[in-house]
Amino acid sequence: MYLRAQVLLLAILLAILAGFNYVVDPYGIYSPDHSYQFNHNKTEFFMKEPVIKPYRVSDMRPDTVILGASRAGFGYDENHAYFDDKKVYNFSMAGASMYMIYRAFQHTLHESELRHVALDLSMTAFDEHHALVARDKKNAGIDVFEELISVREDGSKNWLSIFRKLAQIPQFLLSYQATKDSIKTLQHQGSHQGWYLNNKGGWRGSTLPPGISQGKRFVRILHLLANDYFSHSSSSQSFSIYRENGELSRSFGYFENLLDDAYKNDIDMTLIFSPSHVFFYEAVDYHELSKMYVEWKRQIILINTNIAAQYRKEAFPVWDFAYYSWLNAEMVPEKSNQIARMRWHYDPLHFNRAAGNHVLDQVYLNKEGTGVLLSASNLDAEMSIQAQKKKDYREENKAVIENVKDIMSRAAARFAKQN
Amino acid sequence: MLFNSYLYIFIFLPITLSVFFFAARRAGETTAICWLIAMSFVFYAWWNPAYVPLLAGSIIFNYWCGRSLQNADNRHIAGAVLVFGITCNLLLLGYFKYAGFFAGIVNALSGAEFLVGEIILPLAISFFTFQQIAYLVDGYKKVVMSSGFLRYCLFITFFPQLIAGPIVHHKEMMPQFQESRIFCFLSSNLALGSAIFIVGLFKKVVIGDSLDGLVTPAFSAAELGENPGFYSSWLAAFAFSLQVYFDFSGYTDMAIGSALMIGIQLPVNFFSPYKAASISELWRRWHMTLTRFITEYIFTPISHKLARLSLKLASNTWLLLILASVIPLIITFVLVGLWHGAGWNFVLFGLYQGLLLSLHALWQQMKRAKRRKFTIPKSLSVALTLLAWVWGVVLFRADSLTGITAMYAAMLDISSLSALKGASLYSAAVVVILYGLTLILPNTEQLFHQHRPRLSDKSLEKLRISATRIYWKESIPCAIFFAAMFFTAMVFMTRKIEFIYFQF
Repeated sequence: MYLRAQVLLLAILLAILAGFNYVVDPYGIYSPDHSYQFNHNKTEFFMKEPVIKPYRVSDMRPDTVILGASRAGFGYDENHAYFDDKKVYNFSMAGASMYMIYRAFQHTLHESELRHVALDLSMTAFDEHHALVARDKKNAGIDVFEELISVREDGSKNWLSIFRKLAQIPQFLLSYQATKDSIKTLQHQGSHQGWYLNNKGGWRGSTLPPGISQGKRFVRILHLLANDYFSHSSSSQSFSIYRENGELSRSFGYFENLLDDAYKNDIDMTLIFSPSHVFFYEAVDYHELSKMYVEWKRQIILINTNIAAQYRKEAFPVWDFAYYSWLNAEMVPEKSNQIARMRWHYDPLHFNRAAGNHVLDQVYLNKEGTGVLLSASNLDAEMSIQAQKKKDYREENKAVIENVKDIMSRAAARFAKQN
Repeated sequence: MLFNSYLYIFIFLPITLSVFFFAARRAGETTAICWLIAMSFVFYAWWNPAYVPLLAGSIIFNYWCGRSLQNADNRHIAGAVLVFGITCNLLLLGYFKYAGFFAGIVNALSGAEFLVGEIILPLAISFFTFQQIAYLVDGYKKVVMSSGFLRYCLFITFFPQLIAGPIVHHKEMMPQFQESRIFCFLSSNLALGSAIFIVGLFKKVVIGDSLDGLVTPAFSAAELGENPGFYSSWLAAFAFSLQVYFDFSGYTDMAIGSALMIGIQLPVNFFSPYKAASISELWRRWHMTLTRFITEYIFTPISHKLARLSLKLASNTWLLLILASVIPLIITFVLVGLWHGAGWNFVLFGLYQGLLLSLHALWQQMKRAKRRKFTIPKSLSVALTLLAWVWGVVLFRADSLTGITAMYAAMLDISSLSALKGASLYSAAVVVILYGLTLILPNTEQLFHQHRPRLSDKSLEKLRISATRIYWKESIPCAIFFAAMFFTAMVFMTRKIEFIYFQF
């Protein structure tokens, strides 16, 4: 009697909870295309993409993916005209290292008939420290992500992933976190001011809630760059695309593997140095990383050219929108201005969907734009042109430059004090 | 595999139990035991299959040594086998657990550059090695009986206690493995075992794991050499002492509960250690099977040897106390520290505990010598004991000497007390309430005392378990209460947080 009563009660309680979380489906796992008004916007996805997206890819089997870090999630529109006849999924993940991007690519390649890839390139994803963290699986959600990827790094089938996916189900249906996220999802419908995940993996929603200064947001991200990207508050290592012995970061190895797999499987891939605001380039400059930034671009081009040559194929196009162009030199509103909103940029790192469409229009629909097609033959010439544009901008905008320097020096002082 | 995982609770345990009882009924006891051994290896291999041969090899080797000891008529040969067996076990443990640590010491002292590659510590190696050393010593003393390889294998691999104890004696388990009652399914065993398991699961996932948020930030900051502040450091130290208690006693309850579902009784490992009125009593209530092991196999032999030496030198009470108690205590607890991990923090933890216990022994002797009945109120004794323990757990939790120094500096830096925040006061209230509950509520042993879920043990008898007003029985209200506890634990079981003692 005791056991029967206990099992019965437990079954009822678990069924109610699982039913609630299944219906609300806060991560869009069970009914991504048929969600209702009460749970349409999946607002509780932040930092959970490495767990949610492998499921969706296995379920949806896209023929086209957008890969990259949060910038790609923010900026690229899966409903852009180029994707009309394609089954596209945005497999970008906030804070993704090149290792994670490579694993996401491997997973998609294994799970679907992948044909087209748009790869957003971000220097921060090539950080050697970032690569180590990803390898050590110490990053939030990385261990689960790794378990859910259907192939091992060496390309062999990860049989355990099938089981891991099943084992993950209670986390989506029974856990405290899932229940909390279900309740928040219900609460945030309609009134939500932040981002939500759409059914194609993109970040959508209002850019900044009313009353929040975009100028302040820029300052905050510059502080973040100083503390977490270019210096690491959790380690004594600073940002570098090189290892301690001077060799290139092992992130380049993952990049090479990715290209190798893409050429081998006849994938139509486009590499994009996506736009960043000039404040980002100035922050790079403040940390004396400008040379490294140019070298990073150079290495990307060389690796792409070399691997294409190995396969006797034409190199994947590499588009560069990441320099001192009018698109990236948009005026940043004053910190005190809580109303003004920028057209192209959200913060120094992240561009808006308008800028994303500008990129996609030029890359895929041959429209005019700020992008430059880079190759091994024009690389040096283009880098010289970009250096000149940087010089010109700095000449004409001395006050802006001083402002960024001032913010960065304050951020660096704060970082030094904290550490 | 973790006890606190859906996999263990909903798949591994039900399948293991069902097939075990089915096999026992249809195919015989030997088949059922083989199944239990196989599933115990699966349980172990889930962590890292590469170390299964190590565990299997260790079992075969020790079984062979044990048989040789039992069959040896010549004491010299038996002695040689014993020394050989213990040495091999310690070398194995030493290689996997201490090679890097000792190479570091040698390098620091001699300037040499011995390089020890990265060695992954096999799960449970300290537990199964110690258990087998005890088996060899008992074999030498002829207090173990031969019971066949299969049952010996089950004695070591039995999944409920394989990973982190309780550390059991051969003589405790073998008779149980031979009883036919364990092969018959009893719903009363399942009810009792599952109830104890639920208590443990609740302790671990709802309380223990939730405290991590109060512990890790301060200790992480200290590891970076930062000052976490007076308040945060004390809060983290108190919270960690609660976390490690709920984590490990929760684990023990789950182990006892899992074993009981098959009708196997394991010894009690915790008995409200924070109710202890002295550090000596605390160690009699904390990880009791380890305390029993070290007392029997380390402290007592050293103490006896030194006591004889002291009697030869002079018949002085104080000298006897120092040689027979203080020195053995310090040696024993430094070894206990090292058993927990290869690091200076663990050595210091052991040394600190040894010194505390020595001080307690000296204090007791002083009271006896003065023939005065000087007593401290029990509540004050409990508080002082707890404070001394909390101060010491910093050594246990910190990863490096930098972390230890920064934590102690912060705990003594009263000037940072002014930086109090409302949120952290709430955290303090949680910690205080949890301490209150550990002091007021009956422990698992008391809750289930009427059903005798554990092996009777001398040390437990000394604690004189009294009847409590709150106890478990097979009733509908209890079923509802425990179902609600289980449900809460399920909901909180979101993260795969390993047991703290798994690293030992």
